[in-house]
Amino acid sequence: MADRIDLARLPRLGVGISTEPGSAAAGGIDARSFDAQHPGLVHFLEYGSDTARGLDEHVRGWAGQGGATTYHFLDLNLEDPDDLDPAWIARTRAAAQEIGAAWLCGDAGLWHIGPRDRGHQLLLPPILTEDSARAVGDSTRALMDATGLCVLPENPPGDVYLGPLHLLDYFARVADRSGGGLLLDCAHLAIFQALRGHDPLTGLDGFPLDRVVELHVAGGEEVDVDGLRLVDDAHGTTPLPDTWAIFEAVLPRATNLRAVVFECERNPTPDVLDGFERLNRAFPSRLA
Amino acid sequence: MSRPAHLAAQAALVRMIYDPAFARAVQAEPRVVLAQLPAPLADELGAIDLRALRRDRHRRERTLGQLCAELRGATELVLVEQGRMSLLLAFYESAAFHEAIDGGTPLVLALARYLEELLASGVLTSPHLAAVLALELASAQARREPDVPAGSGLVRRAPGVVPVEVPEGTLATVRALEAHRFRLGLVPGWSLATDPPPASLPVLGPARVAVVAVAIDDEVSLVEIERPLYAVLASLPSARAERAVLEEAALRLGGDRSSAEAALASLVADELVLGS
Repeated sequence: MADRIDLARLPRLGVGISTEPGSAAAGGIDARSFDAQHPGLVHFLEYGSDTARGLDEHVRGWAGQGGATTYHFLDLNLEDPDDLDPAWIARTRAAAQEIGAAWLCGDAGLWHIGPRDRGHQLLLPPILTEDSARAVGDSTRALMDATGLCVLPENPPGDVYLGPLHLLDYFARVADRSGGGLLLDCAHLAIFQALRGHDPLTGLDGFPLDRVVELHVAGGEEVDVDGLRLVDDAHGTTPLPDTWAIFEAVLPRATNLRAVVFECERNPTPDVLDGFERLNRAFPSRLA
Repeated sequence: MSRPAHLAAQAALVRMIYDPAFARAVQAEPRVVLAQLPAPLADELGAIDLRALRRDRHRRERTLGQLCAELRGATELVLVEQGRMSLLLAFYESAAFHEAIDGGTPLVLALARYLEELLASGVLTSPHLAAVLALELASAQARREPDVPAGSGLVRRAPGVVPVEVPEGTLATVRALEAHRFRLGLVPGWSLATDPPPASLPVLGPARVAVVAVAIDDEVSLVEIERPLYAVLASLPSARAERAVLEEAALRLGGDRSSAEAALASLVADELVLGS
């Protein structure tokens, strides 16, 4: 177990919106316009990117106006310590520093097959074994040490989860090993629980909720694949009931929670207002 | 050192996602097909409901499209010769694909190898395809050449410099394909009609032309070069002693050592060869 990072020192960001390179330019929600039209609903921008695409004008503009940000990597296999190469660290650290990111985060899964290369991108959840959890914890700690930033591994979505551990037990081990915080994606957890036939809140009792710094909420879509019911993590406007159930169960017990992201940037602004209002009521940017 | 079991399991899952026949084989005999994995993980992979691997219905085509974009001329010529997409999608069933996933090597190079094997076995026969594939493979290799220090007293090709020898007319074939692509793009949907114009390809000559692919970042320049320059570059598959390079290059030039020495000096001056 590594020395514990003091999560209480991290800034409270409030409710944020996700974005990816070129998303706003392609018609997705522009955080600056959204904030101008609906002040008080979006308090930070979570920028998801990879070293190949870097930063875009949307996040530069937001950060340039003093807006808070976080940097969500889309190209690091935390399960594979060899993937954490110096060039990747240097470029990611530079991007995060340029936009003043409060911390790094990213799904702790398989983002690319083999090398970071054209056609190699995908996202699979980690294999839920003790060895894998140790590797993710060690990679997370190494990345924190190398960048000086807090790093929050996130539970990824999936259609198949392998390994004997429950997802929450796996990430409890990750946090114990890294000494750092966690990002809990409520929609992804709901997908896992449904696939394993669990109640949405199964496993939360033994989970170190005091290590959760950030929560994600997003709309999912039930799909039928030749008779098999699955949930597509579609980042739509309407979170599924299980996602809200997890969010509401976690919120009062996550004592170090600093940020909630509504992953919805590809939707029309009017369709996401209810979600932002509900999240802001639940998690105000400033404590009373 | 062998790969951790969780990474080996991830690779097996990826192979199952892309290759339904492999997924069925795993389902039938998980511990045999995945003998390299711990039995519990093999059993779990064998127990997957294969429908769950098909939720992303366009994954195979999307990935193939990204790979074909880098071997664009070659894969277009495959479609011209065969008239069917299935031969390209069968890449996912090939040893080249599975070995690339297991070995963690670039998929575009694996696709090139798959096409080379189809050419070698006679499934594909177009000489234009073989020539363009060689050129595009050199470009793909140039983009991915690692910057490895040569070591004391050795010379090496600069990273991103790959020589290739192709039939006369190969570069013209690439240009003809680009022109054809441009023409078809003038009318959206033309390629779906029954009467799109055929590509007019130049005749390939009997002579061999030396070309060097030079990658700077993601851009690759293809330049025809003189025979002595090619002889030196082709004598440098990896870092070697200068003397050994000159001996092999001179042999390639019919014993002309002085041309080999001049070529090496020129390549060093142009920073296409390092370490001398």
